[in-house]
Amino acid sequence: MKTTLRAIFLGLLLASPAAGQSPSSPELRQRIIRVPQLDAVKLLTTEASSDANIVETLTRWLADGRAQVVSDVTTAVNLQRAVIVSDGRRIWLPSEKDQDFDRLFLVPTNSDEELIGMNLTVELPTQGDVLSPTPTEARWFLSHTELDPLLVKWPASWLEGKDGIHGWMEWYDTFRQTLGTELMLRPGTEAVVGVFPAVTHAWPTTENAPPAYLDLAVAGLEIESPAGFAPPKPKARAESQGIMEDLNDRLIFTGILISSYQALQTLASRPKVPDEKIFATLLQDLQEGRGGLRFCLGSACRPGQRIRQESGRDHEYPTEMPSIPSAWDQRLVGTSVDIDPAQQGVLGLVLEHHIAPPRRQEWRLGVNEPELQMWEPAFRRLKLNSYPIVPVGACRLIGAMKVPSVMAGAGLKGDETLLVFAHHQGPKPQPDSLSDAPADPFAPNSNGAGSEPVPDSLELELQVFEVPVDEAAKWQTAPQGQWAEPDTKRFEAMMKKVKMETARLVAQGMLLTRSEQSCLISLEEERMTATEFDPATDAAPHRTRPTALDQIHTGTLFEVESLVAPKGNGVADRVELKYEVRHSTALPEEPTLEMILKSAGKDGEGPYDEAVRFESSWQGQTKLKPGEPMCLGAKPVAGEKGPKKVLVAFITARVVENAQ
Amino acid sequence: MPLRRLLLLLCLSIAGGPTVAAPPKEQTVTLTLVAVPEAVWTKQMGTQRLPAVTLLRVLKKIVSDQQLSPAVEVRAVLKGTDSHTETAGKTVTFAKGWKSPESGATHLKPEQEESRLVGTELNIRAMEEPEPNSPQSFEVVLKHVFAEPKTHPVNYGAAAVTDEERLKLSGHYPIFDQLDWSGIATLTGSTPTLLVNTLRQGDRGKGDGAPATRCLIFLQIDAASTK
Repeated sequence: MKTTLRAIFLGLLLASPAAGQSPSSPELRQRIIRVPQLDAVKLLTTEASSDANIVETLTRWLADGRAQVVSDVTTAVNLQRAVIVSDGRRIWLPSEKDQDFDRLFLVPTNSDEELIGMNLTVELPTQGDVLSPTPTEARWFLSHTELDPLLVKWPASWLEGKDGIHGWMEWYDTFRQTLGTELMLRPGTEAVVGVFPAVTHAWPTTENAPPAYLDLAVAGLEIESPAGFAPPKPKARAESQGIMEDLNDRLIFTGILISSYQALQTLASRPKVPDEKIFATLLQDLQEGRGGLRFCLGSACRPGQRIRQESGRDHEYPTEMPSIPSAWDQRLVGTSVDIDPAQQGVLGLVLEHHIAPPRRQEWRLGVNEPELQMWEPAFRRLKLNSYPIVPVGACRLIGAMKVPSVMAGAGLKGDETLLVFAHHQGPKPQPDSLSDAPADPFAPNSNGAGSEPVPDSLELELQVFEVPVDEAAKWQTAPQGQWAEPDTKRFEAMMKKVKMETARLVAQGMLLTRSEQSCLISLEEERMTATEFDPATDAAPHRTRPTALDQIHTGTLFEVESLVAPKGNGVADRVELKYEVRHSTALPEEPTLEMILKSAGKDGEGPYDEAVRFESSWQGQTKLKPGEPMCLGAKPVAGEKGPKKVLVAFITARVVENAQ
Repeated sequence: MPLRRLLLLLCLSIAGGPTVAAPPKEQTVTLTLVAVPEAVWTKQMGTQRLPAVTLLRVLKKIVSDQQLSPAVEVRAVLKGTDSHTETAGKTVTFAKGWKSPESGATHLKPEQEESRLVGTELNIRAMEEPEPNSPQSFEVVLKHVFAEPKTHPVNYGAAAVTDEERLKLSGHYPIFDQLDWSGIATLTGSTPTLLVNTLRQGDRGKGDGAPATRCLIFLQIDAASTK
């Protein structure tokens, strides 16, 4: 009998419904809120910039009209699979064109679909079946486009026949803001996911564009609790556990353009004046109309998770047979960051910012036939590849570069310097319950507290001066590879000459990095040069067109590979590094059409005249004493006929202690 | 048969012992899409967050009171855990690419064509057999195209000089106004679940006058189909 009852009980138990009924679908909301640029930068970079404070301020600004919502999506979410929402207009654009040369018919043979709107993909990779009121990890990918594709006309010229044929080929540029990141969300609260320059006009990096805005993506997670269940309020819980309310780190990168004279004074004032104070002063200047805020972008992040963020215009340009474009490449004219935020505030950073719209390069294709021409864009951009250490709670100047005079024009003033700052905000490391316990390696925001010390940073500076050619001997240096004595006195003498206007500062750069890493900063114009041509024909001996292009970088480049780490206590004897410095004094001189036709030879094989480049460069490996400038030597400017000046470069390395 | 053996068989059958497979249960799910002007949404809703069942009721009342375009409803009858696709609307075909006109001709002939449904396509699958009063998960892939596509001209006659000539030597590509959603929706009983709520900006910045709208999509199991 007992066996029978046991069997009945077992059967009934196995047949009962599964335990743990889930609550109704949780919802996730993302808003993109547009805010005047300076207001947003001040809000994001002040001390009281927690998610809660930012959201509260945005709510107030929405109510009084200072901010506006440009996108608002709420979606059901589920732990088992990613949710994808895609909303907007799908516009078809040509992707390939056939070429009927005789009539210059360029017929679209294929096309692709572009979304003008919002695409949001969110995954909640939390274990289990039920979303609980505790913080949840979220993988976030958003792509937002507001502007319609822009029609761009490119010259198309077919050179055969007596008259040749010329027209305009239509192609399209598109615009976008994209972000891929990973963050934590606490149900019932909102967090800032990303910050982007708003893309609201044809060239996002035009200096005199309409008033600039930032778009802040803000997200929140809501769970409907089952009846009778009241989850603890987040604030009370945070207070009871002594945990800061914000769950995520936030990295914000800002680029500010100031006069080169002010930049020289600013860099000279460091480290006595901390970077936080410098930034605050520059922000005040911006509010009073001095200087220019060129970019601000950033996102929430978790240490160890990669972030990729872009904002700008995808500019398409021809690459093959560019006189009648048949293949295209694409370049984002705007701002992009690629970050690997490791522990202890070490950032693996690749940042690119187009400081001005591309200049247009033109090639004539027929003598006395001005309508036959070819165009290519010359991109003008800052590139910063580095490993700056920016501890949580800190603001750091991570890079600076004077705008080379060769890049001035077509919307870009000369004699200005771009300073790049990084702000790293986030919760302070949680205290261990035992003072000597090792840090939890699996805690998302531990920042390594209690484990290895924060490594020291290496700050590298470059100055290039122009002096009369008869002074070249004064500025030579020891042969490469040999021990170089500090050049402090010669540097001081050079600075006096600058003050007396007998020398000119033509390039200045600065980089913050971690030792034993390669890094570079460059502000350059990427120009095309033609290297091969279609030979002229008997029927049209006065025409030719480029068939192969190469790239020439014109501007200033400062690249360093630090070979030996300074000592961890902040005192280092020597910093050993490999370096490459390049500075252009004028745009390359391309051979004229007449020169090309002449150098083609009877068979049209060339060799063709090449572009003349006006630049000086220094490469080498050296050891230098931290804090003391070293002269890299005087170099004539290549390409100049009868040089009248030489360039003299100095580099300095400093070791910067990072607080624990 | 001895009583002991009979009781054991009864327990095994309740616990899922060897049985004859039951036919898959049928259930009907309804997708409802409602759109209201954003100005009306902001005025009526403010910042409050309502349960989906109340929200749907309020929206239907707004649509009725203000004589707006009626909600779009699509019903799908699901059998067990089989996938089902329900469509409502009209298919349009357009050229993705053309051939170059023959010598002497200018008119384009399509070479590649593509079709798109103007309306709603709902692909849905129950992930488990329905059980009374238990939440149920559904895989959902939804595509909704709001209206007939507009078009934009793409010139192929590069040598044409005037705008009129260039327009004459153009093909036309479509522009679809579309909302897609994919993921997993959890439904309980016949209570509606909100899938998505989105602000649609209309022809923002173009000055064409198309106002912003708020579009919401709900999914629910029909009560009658669960009995």
